[in-house]
Amino acid sequence: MRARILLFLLVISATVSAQQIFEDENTSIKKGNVLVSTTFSINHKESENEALLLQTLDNSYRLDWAVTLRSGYFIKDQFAVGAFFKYANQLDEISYTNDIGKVNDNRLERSYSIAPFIRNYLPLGSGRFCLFNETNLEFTYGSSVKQISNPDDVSRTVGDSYQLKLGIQPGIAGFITKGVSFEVGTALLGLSSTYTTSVIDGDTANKGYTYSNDVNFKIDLLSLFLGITFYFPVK
Amino acid sequence: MKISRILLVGSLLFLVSCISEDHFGKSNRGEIKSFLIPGQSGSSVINNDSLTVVVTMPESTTDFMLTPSQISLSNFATIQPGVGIAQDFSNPVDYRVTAEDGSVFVYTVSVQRGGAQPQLDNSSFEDWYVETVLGTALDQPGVDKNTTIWGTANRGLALGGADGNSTKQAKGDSSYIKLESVAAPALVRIAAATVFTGKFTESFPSVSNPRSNITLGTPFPGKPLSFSFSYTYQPGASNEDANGQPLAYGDQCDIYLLLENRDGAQVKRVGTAWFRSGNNVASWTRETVPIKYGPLAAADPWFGYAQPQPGEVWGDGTETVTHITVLATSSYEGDFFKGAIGSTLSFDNIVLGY
Repeated sequence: MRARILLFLLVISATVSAQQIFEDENTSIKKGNVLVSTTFSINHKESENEALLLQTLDNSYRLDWAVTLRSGYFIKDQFAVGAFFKYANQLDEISYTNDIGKVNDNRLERSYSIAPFIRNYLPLGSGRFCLFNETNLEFTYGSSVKQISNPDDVSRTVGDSYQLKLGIQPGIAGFITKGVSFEVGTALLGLSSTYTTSVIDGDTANKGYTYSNDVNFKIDLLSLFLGITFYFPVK
Repeated sequence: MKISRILLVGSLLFLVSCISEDHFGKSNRGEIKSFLIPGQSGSSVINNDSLTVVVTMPESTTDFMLTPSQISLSNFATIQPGVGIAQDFSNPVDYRVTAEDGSVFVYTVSVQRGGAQPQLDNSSFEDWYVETVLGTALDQPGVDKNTTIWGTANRGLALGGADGNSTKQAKGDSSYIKLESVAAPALVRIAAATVFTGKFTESFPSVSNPRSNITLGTPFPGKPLSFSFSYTYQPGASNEDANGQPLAYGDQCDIYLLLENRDGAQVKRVGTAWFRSGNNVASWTRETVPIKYGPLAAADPWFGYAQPQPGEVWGDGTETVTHITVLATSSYEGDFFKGAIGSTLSFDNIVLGY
């Protein structure tokens, strides 16, 4: 009972102090501040004898993870410039049995991106919540290997991809306390240009390539991102 | 200093992002999937358990210095010697296949000729049946009239009231055929004896054009390199023309083999072998005659008389053989009623060599 009262008092006091933080204005997004954020995502799945629509998998293993480091500098109030670096790793391994025997289908893709960005903040009310919009120019290099081995042979596709993307990411930042905000955003994909090459079974003489361009402004809800951002110095 | 550190970190990150092509393991497969030599017959037989490849070349192949034009392997495997390198396949040749992981598979590639090596049915004239024509019982080579591939002119003689001149003869426990040019029973002077693969006409035979009475050739799939036979020959004493006038030269026997392609509208001569001799050969003698494929050269000894017959043209020798004609006659100009009465050819044991 004593613990419950203590917890209640802590919550009340935190709420009161948060209200007091933004009584004047949000000082975290002032000129001269630095923002730093990191996001990490992971997607893991393992299965055995998993029944899919067309095939029952003997085994499957998936491990996708990505880490993003972002840093920016407020060159004026509510306006920051900076860059982020993103590293992503996708591993899929499945095995199943068909007419000719056991098939192992494995795929690994790694990519890294670097993107300069500008970010505008628009405080709402006292500034506890801010709308923001980030515009970035992202360059991504990726390489992948897909290998399928069955009793008959081993087939391998090696790919490289290069992508240049002009991205617009609007979102909302909620300040938990001074210098720390929780962000939710989405990607409004603007313009991207992608060049991929692929070599099948080592046949470099017949290297394949694709070149694609996309222009659209649809909201990609699947790329909704969450993150925590720190602002320095804390004033 | 800071810039160099950033570059160093950047380089490491770049290396991390690159993936080794064999990230999921190198292939240990080193199989031969296909093996092709230009001109081969059918498909190569590849056994990836016993590591053997057998390629079948046409029967006519004599040069075994052959160059594989296509070898398909498991992915990432390599082979030595490679495609386009000529090898002497007189004996099996080893091909070394190396898988991506370094595993080595040594295949033995051998080349054989032909596949089926057919012989002529009743080529030793052991089987005979009796055909009765106008009350005359004639011995004819073969098991029965419907299945035999051999024909003679015996029935023509029997229709003229004479006995056949192609007869069954015993030689120990076996038999052979004796061909004897005889005086014709009517109208013409001489009836040369002949035995051939084909049919003698079922209608009343033409006396003026003996060749029109026979249909030469029997279905045959092989491409032999030679044909051999046993024979004796005694040319008749007096070689005369159709009017009984002596000729300046002696009578000769003719034994020849023709291979034809009759698939298309035009009959093509694929291969030719011809033996013509007027020598007196009293004891059984074995003769082997090479088969020449394609057109004969002018320098060829058979060139003068082995040309395509009416309705037949030269092929280039690479055609598939569909029919074979083997013909033996006691008087080589018997078609023109020339010859020596009494010329006798004994003929036996035909073997096609591959």
